[in-house]
Amino acid sequence: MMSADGVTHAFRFQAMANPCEVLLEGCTARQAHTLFTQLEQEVRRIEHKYSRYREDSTLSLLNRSAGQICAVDPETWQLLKLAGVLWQHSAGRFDISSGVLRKVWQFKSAQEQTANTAIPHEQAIAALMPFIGWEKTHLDERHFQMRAGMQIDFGGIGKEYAADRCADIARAAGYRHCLINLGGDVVATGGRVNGSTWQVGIEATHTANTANPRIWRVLPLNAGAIATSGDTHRYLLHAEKRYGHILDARTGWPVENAPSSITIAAPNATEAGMICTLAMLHGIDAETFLHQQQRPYWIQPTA
Amino acid sequence: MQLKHSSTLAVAALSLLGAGHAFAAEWEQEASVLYYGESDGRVKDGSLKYTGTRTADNGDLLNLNVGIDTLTGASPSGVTTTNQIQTITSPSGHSNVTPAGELPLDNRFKDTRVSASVNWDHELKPDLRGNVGASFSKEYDYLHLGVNGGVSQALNDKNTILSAGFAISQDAVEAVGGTPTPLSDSNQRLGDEAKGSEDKTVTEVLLGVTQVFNKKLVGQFNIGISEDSGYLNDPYKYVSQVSPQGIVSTNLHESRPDSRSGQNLYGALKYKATDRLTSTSSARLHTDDWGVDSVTIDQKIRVDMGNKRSIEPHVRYYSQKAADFYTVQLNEQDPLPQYTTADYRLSELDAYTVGLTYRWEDKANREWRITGEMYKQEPTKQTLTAGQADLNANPGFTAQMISLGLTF
Repeated sequence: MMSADGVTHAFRFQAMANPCEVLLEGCTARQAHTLFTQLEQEVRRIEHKYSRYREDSTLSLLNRSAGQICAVDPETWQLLKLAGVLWQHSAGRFDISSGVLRKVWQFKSAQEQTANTAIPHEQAIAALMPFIGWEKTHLDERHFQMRAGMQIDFGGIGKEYAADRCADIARAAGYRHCLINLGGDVVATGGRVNGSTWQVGIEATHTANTANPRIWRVLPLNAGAIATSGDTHRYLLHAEKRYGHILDARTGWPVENAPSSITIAAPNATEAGMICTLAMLHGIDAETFLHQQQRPYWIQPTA
Repeated sequence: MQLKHSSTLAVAALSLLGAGHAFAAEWEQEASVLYYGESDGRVKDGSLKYTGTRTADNGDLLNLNVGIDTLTGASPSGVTTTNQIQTITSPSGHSNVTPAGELPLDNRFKDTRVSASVNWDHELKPDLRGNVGASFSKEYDYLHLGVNGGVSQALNDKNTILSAGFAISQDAVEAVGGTPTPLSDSNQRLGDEAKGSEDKTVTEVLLGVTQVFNKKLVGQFNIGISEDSGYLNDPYKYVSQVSPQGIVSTNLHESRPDSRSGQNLYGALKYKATDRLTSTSSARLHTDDWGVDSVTIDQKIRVDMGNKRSIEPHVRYYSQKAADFYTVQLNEQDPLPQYTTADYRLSELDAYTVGLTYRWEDKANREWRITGEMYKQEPTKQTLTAGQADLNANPGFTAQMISLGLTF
């Protein structure tokens, strides 16, 4: 007969263009397998429903129907409502309709980087601005309408929402020692079986070797969520100037002088992710904004 | 993991059996089922027990106990808790990889134990009784064999009973994969040093007096001494050696002394306050040369609700000091001590039990009993290294017990 101080069941999968993992303690392998299956299904359901890349997703349907009044289901209504709150709270800096700017901005990862990528012409950006703006949409509990030519996406909301949904499922099934990490959005339903906290590493933003990231900080997580936003992995170099990939929806231009990464702890991943995203959009004033949110935060300064 | 064997209980029970019984050759039997579960997926125990006492025409008492229990779950192994990273958060849009963290191995234990004991109590001459008994239990990696005996002398119209008893048990530990050498590295394969089986001998002596003060009050007082010798380690418990930064460098098999001498005092009072209210109070003090001094205070109040029904709330407080050689972990830079354990059962702790028993009789005049108890263990918090700030290697636990019994 052997004893161990709790077994950690680990499950990893790829979803929402990110590596995902679930760690679970205090149950049998069979129970873990059952929960892992449920959580993966839930992540895939949300991904499928709100994917920009799937013709049959709810999101694609909304985007194809731009200009018309569309019926929305309760879940979509909630997500759109949240997007409205974010837009309002950020004074228009964050806008789920700003995705059209991708047509003109070409951010690249460090590996793809070339020394001098063209930046979009002022006029090209100006031409897109009429199709950006939450104020040009109308939402009520059953219907959503946006101006023809507009596009929305749930970047910065969907993944966090999925992480929280997973945590809800785990909690409802009675799992108190579960940690969910969807591409850096981490939620825990409680600590580890042995009474200790989960250890969440914050990746150093200037990690040269992405396969083996350097750790900048280690945060203990007992229950609640940690999310991180950063501006290091996708950017554009032009005339020796670096343009980060976080765009201010009011101007169509990247935010300047944003911290290289911001990490927030909050009761749920949705809130943590929202605060992260909004703080990044405040650029040089990120810390002032974070200070007002009254949540624990960690800033990695730009090198 | 070994289940706690205590022949003290057997001996104590026998010293009470000296009290007179109605002489009629009949069996009084109880069958019970019990579930015990600790919080957070730790130990769970399910057991079935049978106990029967037959009183012969000549006043002889024959007592039989048979039980089977099944353990599952996990128990802290003594390995300390560290800040090894379990997951990484990183700015979106980038693949993060969890470092090959050392996740605990999946070795949840399962064990089934069968146990049996028999005792015979016989009148040697008027007011002097003798008793002998034997006990046996077997689980996958543990074997217990024991004998016990005693005498009891009734004085002053049977209002005072003096008793003396002894119990000797010979146990064998046969750990899975060989019984490890104390202080050996848990990662090294157990070589020739590891023996297949180790022995342990436990001897206990008990002197007691039971006194009837009046119709309402009975008291009991016992003095016991115990001597354990042989292999007293738990073969599945480790002690971690930790760097000043809070990283575990090695996990060693624990090392306990090969002898342990203990003394204990036990006192109990049963007071029938009214026809409907009976109070049972007891206190126990224990001390031994490992430094595990403990005190137990127990109180039950049985309330008769008429119609053959009663309820009995129960509270217990237990407090113990840590063994002298208990440590939550070792500093890798310090020389190795001769004796060391991180077994939470030898740490400094307080424990609280609250419970309730409800008894009733069914239409066939069988007495039923259901007992529920909650147990909470609170160890004294130990400070670890700076690198393990906010961590607790011995957080304690809660447990629930529910048991259903039928007397027939």
